Amino acid sequence: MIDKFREKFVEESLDNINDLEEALFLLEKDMHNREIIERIFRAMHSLKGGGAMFGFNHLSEFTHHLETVFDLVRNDKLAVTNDIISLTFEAIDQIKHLLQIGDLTEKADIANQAAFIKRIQAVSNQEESSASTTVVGESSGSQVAVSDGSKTFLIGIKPNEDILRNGTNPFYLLDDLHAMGEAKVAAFAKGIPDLGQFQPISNFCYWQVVLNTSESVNDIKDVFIFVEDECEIDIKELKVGNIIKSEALDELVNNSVADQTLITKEQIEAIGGSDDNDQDDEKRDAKRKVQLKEHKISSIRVNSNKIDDLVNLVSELVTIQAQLNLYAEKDGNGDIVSLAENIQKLSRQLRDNAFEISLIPLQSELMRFQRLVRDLSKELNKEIEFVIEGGDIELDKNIIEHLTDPLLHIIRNSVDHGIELPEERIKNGKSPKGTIIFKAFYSGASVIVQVIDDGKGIDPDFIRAKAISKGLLDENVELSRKEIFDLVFLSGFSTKEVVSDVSGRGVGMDVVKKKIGEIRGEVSLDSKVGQGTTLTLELPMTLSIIDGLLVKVANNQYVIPIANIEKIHAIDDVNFGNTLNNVVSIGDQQFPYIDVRDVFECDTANSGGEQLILVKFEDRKVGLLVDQVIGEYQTVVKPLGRFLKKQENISGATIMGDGSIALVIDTNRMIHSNAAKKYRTKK
Amino acid sequence: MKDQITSLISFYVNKEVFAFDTLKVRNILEFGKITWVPNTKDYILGVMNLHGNIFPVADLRVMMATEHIENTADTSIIVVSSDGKNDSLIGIVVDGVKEVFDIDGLEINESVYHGNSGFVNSFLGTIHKNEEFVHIIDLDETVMEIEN
Repeated sequence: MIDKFREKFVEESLDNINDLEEALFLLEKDMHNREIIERIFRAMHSLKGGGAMFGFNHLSEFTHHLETVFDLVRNDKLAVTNDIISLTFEAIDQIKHLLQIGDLTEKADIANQAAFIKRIQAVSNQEESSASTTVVGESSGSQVAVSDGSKTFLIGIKPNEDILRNGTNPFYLLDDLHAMGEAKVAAFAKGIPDLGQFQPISNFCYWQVVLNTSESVNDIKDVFIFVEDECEIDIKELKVGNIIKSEALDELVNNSVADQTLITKEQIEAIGGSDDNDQDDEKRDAKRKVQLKEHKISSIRVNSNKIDDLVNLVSELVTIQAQLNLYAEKDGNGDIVSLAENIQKLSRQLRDNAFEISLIPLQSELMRFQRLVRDLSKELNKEIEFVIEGGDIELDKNIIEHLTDPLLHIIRNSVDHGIELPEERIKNGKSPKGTIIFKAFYSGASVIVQVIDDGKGIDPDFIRAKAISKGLLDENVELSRKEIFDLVFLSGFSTKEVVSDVSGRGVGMDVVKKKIGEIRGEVSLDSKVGQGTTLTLELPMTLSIIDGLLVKVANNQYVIPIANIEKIHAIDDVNFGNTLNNVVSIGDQQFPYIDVRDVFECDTANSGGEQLILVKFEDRKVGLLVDQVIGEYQTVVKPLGRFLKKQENISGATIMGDGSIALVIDTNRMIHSNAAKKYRTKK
Repeated sequence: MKDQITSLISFYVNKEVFAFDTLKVRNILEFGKITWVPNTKDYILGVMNLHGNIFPVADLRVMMATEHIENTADTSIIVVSSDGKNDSLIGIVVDGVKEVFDIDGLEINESVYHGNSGFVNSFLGTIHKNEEFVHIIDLDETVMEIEN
């Protein structure tokens, strides 16, 4: 999970850096603008803080020094100069690099960064020394080599086998050399014999050191003064600038270590002097830039409004395409028909693509739930483990936005009412620690989200009794187990006597059902006394375009989502054996059915040619009786607006090719509310 | 509220003159094809499509319990949005649109209209203009009635 945060941090930081660069450009034009300076400081500050938090230690350290400079600037202790601006630009590149690769691992990079920090420090130190601004330019690596008269040496150290017997540690020699300047060491250990012949008190290694120092050859020789007799020392002065930091030297050293071949003077001199050094830098810069480009291609951040616009435009396109199809069919011109078909294909692909873009993983909201469980269980003295499965399941962002509140409520319920106190759990033979599982998975065109707890569960008999006492249910009505649990979602039903301030807040499960209904989802509950409760949400993956079946009911056109349809039967096959109970038999099976004309309270008579559409409803199949099936239709679902939100049977509308409107039937809710009528008799 | 109104759009319902705040009006359409929506209140005639937005249409004449309703060539649909959002678009069917006029200098009096106005009970005031009383309907209150 931390990787996700790191990714997000990098993404946000890149935005931050863009902002920083933009501000720098502005600052270049107006060097005294306090607002811009503040903006830069803030951007650096958040980079520093975020870097430390997400394990970008080098980034954090580096930015810290940069921030110091701008802290001085904003406190009027340092004036903005072109040098500072260029240095900052350069630093930004370094920051990008650091974001890219995380903490530095290559020695050369680390040394590079240290040098860079020194340059930055030099700038911030100006404030105290009031030195001239030339420090910036001069302190860059290559020029130091020339100006302070440092030289580069290749030193070969080949101790005798017996050197260790005298208590000499060759590493101290290397340390001493390091102390004289900048050094790079190649170790040659090929002489070490197999473990069998290995003598711990014998030395089998030798070293080569590339040293850049301002000390003389004699000073270097002094290092070896006590070991002269036990070592072969070979000191060569090289005709190169300071190449310690160059990548080429790194490579050379690595290669020679790998091959166990000595580095020669010529090899190093081939790397070249101070001039080549700059070229190396350039090369490295170029390399970094390439890396940055690659990163940007892999993902971009887009304002969510733009995605909404895209989806809307695609929806419009699909509508127009339907018009074109209609026209092509009427026209009958083969060319136009095939053009229309191609456009249909393309718009379908475009539609699928646009939807994929607007999908985001559930993960983004899960932290809040985890936090809620943690805080609440502490407050209630309960021990609860929150397990997440399927956090990478993706849903339309509009659906996720609508999902958060109901889920918070559901999880709150599980923590408060579901999971028992540890003592009670032990008494019932359970582990004192309760578990709440948050589970998401795909099922056909829907996404199922479940919240499962192993708490005390709910007794169906209790629900039934309670519903009767509240006047929600007639005493004589027989209900299935599932129907009983559905009672929980009726308004005016709350299983706990006292509304607690934890899960109370005046919203009950009926609100959850309503909210989920708004995004065309279904919610159901199942429970076993003593074993726990499972709450299941069934959600559509997307809201705006669906494949639909166009049907006619009493002169109006309606769309039924194809994902819900099981089978279509012509009326002839159907035997209305018992119309009183609204049950039909097809073949050797019986299905309950709903006459859509009755539901819609149409007074027109049967127009003949009825068809029965079998749709999936929960674990059953239910028939919907319509006048006529027209055909398949790619439906852009539009909301009916705020005034018709309460409409139960219709979830939206779509504009047909000819500009007329067809309403989209929400089969789940239609069946549900019509089935529910039978136990709402007592009113 | 009524102080912010600078111009009005007036219309007839059953020969009486009423008005909306012009700022809330989006469009005026001819009375055309309306797609009936099942299971709605009887004054909701259905839904219409305007530039890809689908919005419901309410018959103000039914809402105001007018006894004789007849659609003529003058019958119009005034499309309003009480809060400026597309989500809140609603078409209001009236007997005919009269005019748009500026309120400049005209006095808005306390409304004394107590006709048999059915669901429309809230008025922002009444203006006396050209020997006629123009009753300004409180649109916010009216759409709230529709929403509930």
